[in-house]
Amino acid sequence: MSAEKDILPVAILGAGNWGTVLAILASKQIPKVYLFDRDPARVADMNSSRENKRYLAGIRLPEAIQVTHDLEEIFASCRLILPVIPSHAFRKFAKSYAPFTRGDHLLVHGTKGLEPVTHKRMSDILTEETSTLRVGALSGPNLAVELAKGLPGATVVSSRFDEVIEAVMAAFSSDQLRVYGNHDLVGVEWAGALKNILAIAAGMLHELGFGQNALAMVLTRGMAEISKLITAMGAHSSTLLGLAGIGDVIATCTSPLSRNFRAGQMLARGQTSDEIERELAMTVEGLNTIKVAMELGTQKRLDLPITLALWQIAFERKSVKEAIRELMERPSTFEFSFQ
Amino acid sequence: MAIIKPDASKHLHALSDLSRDRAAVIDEVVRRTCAQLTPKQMEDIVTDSLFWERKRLEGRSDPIRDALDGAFWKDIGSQLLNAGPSHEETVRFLLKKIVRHHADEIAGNYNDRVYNIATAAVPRGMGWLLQAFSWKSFRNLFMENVDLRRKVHLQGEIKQLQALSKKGTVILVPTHFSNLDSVLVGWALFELGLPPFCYGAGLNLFTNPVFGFFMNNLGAYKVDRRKKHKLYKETLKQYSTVILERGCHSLFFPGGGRSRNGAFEKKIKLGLLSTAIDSYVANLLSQKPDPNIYIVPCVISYHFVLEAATLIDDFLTEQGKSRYIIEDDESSKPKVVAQFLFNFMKTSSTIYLNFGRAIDPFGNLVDDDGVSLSSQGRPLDITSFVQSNGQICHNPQRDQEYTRLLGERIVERYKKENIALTSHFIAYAYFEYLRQKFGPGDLFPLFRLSEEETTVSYKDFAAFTTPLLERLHEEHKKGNLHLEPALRSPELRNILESAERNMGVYHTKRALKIIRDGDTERLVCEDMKLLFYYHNRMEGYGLTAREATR
Repeated sequence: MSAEKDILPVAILGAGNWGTVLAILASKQIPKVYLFDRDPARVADMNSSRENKRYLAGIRLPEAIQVTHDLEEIFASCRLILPVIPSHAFRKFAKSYAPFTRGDHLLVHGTKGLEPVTHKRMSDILTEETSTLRVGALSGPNLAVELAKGLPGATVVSSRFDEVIEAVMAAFSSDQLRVYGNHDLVGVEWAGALKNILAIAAGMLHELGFGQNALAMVLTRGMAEISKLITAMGAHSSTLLGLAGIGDVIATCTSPLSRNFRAGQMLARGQTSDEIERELAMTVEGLNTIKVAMELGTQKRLDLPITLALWQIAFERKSVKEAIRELMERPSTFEFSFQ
Repeated sequence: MAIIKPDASKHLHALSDLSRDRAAVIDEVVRRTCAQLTPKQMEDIVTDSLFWERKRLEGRSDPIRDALDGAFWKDIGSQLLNAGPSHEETVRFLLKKIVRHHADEIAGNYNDRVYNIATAAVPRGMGWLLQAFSWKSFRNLFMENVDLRRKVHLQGEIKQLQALSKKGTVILVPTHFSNLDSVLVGWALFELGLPPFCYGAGLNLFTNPVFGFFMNNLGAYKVDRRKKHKLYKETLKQYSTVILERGCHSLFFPGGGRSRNGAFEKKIKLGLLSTAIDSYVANLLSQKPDPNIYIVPCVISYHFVLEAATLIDDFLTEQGKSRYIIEDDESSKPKVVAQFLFNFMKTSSTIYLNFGRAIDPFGNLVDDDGVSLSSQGRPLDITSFVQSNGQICHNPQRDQEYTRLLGERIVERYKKENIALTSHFIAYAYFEYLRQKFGPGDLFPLFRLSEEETTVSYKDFAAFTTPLLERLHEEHKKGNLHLEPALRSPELRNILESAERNMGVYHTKRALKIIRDGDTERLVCEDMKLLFYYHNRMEGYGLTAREATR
């Protein structure tokens, strides 16, 4: 390993809970980690109190982390930079740092979701808006709170460029986190977005007390639908067997910590999608993803019964029980393997 | 448009130097191709080459050449078998021998003197070709001094192309629909005052009675697409890289061959294209003063394509793979070529060549000063694209990805730089009308429609096509494609008449015929395959509801 002074700093753009946890994880290997927050007051507070009280209260920020709002400095001194910004604000923010980007920057986002309206992947936005082509995505079963507590886990970094994968492995691999590489960027990003649909379904079933068999049925058949969708988008179905697929589904569909899971519980209680977003005071990516999956399914002429049922529940106020009855009454058929 | 010709001498020198230094260039190609291989890889690649070449020679298609090749490979085989204790040395020797054999075949024979003679004839363009056939009627046509400049429209970023040809090395990447493309592009480059571009032409074209002369003398080098083994492809790539580094502008048809179905290339062959980045990095590492490589997409639009009938037949009979190199199509028959050119010359038909905006090897648009621009129009320092850990370097995996992205970018640019013609649009609308009428599923039943079944009244056709025309004009306004002047008309009738005039002049069986009977007009198609071929050119713009939902 090179001397400490030769190791370039790494930057995380976005001091939400996942962004802050990523900064903490990187600080185990990297002597200097920038954590970007656009609010100067919050920056000053985090630097002095060594805590992100808003999103990760009670967890100490290691000394290696420097919180900053200076994008120019970040891009001048780092090569590996990770934007971790909600999908609806991703492009606008990318435009703000685009002037500082160079062709040798490695940009790896940690956002699971698609751009509203255009349905573009975050890596597409990065290549469209910035000056680098070396982009990637970080995904997998990564519940921020667990990793913040120091519990072990694994993540997957996907990029078409080996250099990007190697840089993320070097920055984040530790005795707490295993980092796996993957070349199927399309698959990883789509799987990361589509699994939110299943988290909503899992939340509903949990709320209604349908038991583990029903959960297993919906998740398994739901994965088959995701497989159809991602292969139609040019991804490899085997990516679904990895951390970004089944790994993420297990973590988010069995944990009430996930906001999509909570949204599912609220839908089962009869709340509308608008009410849910108001009550949670944040975007529920999964609700948007249901619409995207439906549109795609129609375009590609795919049979997606579970997605359709969720769409009817979320946007046409169909009762969950009615939707499940209809699903159960579908004609018997062969179980097909993943495409 | 008045075209001011730049001074092409500098790059003419590059080509002359290439010809003068032929032996040194071949040495360099041999050195580079062999340099990266370990002894184990050397042995594998020699046996791989031997295997594929023997297999190729089993199905002889060129008796004289193949007999010579057969002797060569027989000798390689026996030396490999009898290598004895000095096995490693023998393999190394054989590897170099094979690469030299390939490189010698590939390397072109550019000759200043012949070029000057040839280009003196070329301004009269296709007329010159006609004269070569000694047909009286065509000679008469030639005597009328038909001016090719009025028949072939050169447009687009011509000034940029001329400027960039002096600032760096240009790779012209035209769409490929016909074997006439290379002659046409060669003429266009001359017309624009540019030097001949190095061009990897299929070996079959060198023996083609029509095109051989141009191929041999205008900077072409030979590509034998029957040779499929890695070592041959690597030699070819190294040759292309070496000549680009020497500043020779090059011409790649990046689709790998002529479009079989009349549509734009959707997939680009990445092997040869990868030499753009390889040579750019090499130029930077050797601190060449003008290291930049500019890729210029060029879209060629014909109302009627010389080989359309054979190509679409080939596509539809799914023989595309086995008949990858078609040696017996219309372009190898002087009479057919002459007939085609005669029709072209005597009608008002026009061929368009649109030179698109240049891009760099990373797909960024380039301005007229040769500076790469970001999507927001900021100037970019593109050396950073090939830096890894702060150093400019070759990185095969990274560069392979860049090349893949470059291929996607070229496909995107083709779509935008397309000049749609009235015949393309009408063929598209007519085929889509029939597709909608006879079922949107399988295409093949459509090719069996009788003439009667294809008959449609103008009224019905207009009802279907008017919204498509409106959508086409919207796409044009958005800058998503170019339209020839006749297609900019809001009058469908004018467009249809233009299409009829142009589509009916060459093919024996017409893709579009209008039967006028009193006040009624009907469209009839005599050849659905041809209609499909011309229709395909307009796929991908979302003009019909079927396409818009895809």
